[in-house]
Amino acid sequence: MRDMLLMSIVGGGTLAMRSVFIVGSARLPATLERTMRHAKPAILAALVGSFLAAGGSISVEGVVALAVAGIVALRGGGMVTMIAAGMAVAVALPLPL
Amino acid sequence: MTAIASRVTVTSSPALDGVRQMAPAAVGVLPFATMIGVAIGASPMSELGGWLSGLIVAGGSAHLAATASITVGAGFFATVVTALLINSRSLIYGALLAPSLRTQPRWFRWVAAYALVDQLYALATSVVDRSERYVRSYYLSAMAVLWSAYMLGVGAGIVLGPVIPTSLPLSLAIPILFLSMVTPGLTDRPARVAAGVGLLAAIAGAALPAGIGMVVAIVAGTGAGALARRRQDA
Repeated sequence: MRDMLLMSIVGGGTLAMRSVFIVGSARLPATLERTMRHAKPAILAALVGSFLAAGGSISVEGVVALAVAGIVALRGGGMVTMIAAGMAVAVALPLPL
Repeated sequence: MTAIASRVTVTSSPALDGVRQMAPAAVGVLPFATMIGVAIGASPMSELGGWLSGLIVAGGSAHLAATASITVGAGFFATVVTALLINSRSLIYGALLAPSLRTQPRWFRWVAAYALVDQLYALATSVVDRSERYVRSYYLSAMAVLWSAYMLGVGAGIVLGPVIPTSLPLSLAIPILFLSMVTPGLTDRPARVAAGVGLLAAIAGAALPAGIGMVVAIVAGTGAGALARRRQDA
């Protein structure tokens, strides 16, 4: 019961954050809105970095897997191919994760 | 397979477009969701409650963090604050998408806000210049595919947790997934600067508690991208 209450508060808080601009009438100042046009690559790259270095340390397997996935992307590979290649390399590497 | 962020193909069926373009991301989400299911199976939560909490929390990283905090017996307040800080980037996503959704019906804006996770944000920004109706059908179908995959993965992790080898690097699928989303958009210098600074700042700030490093990295990367744009235009 306590756990579900906790999850509900997190879910409610998250919905409040997401809806403040989308459903509510809050708007960003024009200057900030112009700056935020550059947010997408920053957000996606920051997601890569934060998951790669989750917990504050970077695994060799993670870096190699991402490098391999990046090479696959440069050669025109799609998302599923990138994931398959990256994870296959991570599994094959002998170092402990 | 089409990388989703910028190589979006538009057909006459927005729902089909949404399904087709979200499908690769949904495949990428499966391993991560499975990992969360394994964590739920190892937690003191009931299996059904843990599975349903995926729909309540509406965000994989926060779901995992909350589950892990419950497992280690962290305090109620600390767990809530941690999970909310992790999901705080939703505030930025909402601010960025809001101008494009302002003319949509209110019910849809609520649904869009509820479901606005990283992958949906990345995909939705590629079609916001389309008609209202197109964006609505596209978003709802993409959302259905992504959330079905997420809940399926969490369920699989709960059920199969005991037999899944711990050596499988399931969590690696997520950074690779986001890498595949960011690479097609790196077409000019400001975008590359924003991504580079965002990546490095996120790695540097990864040890900060509760996802604060992630928010700092987004702000730093966005600011750097804007500065690079100003220099380029000067």
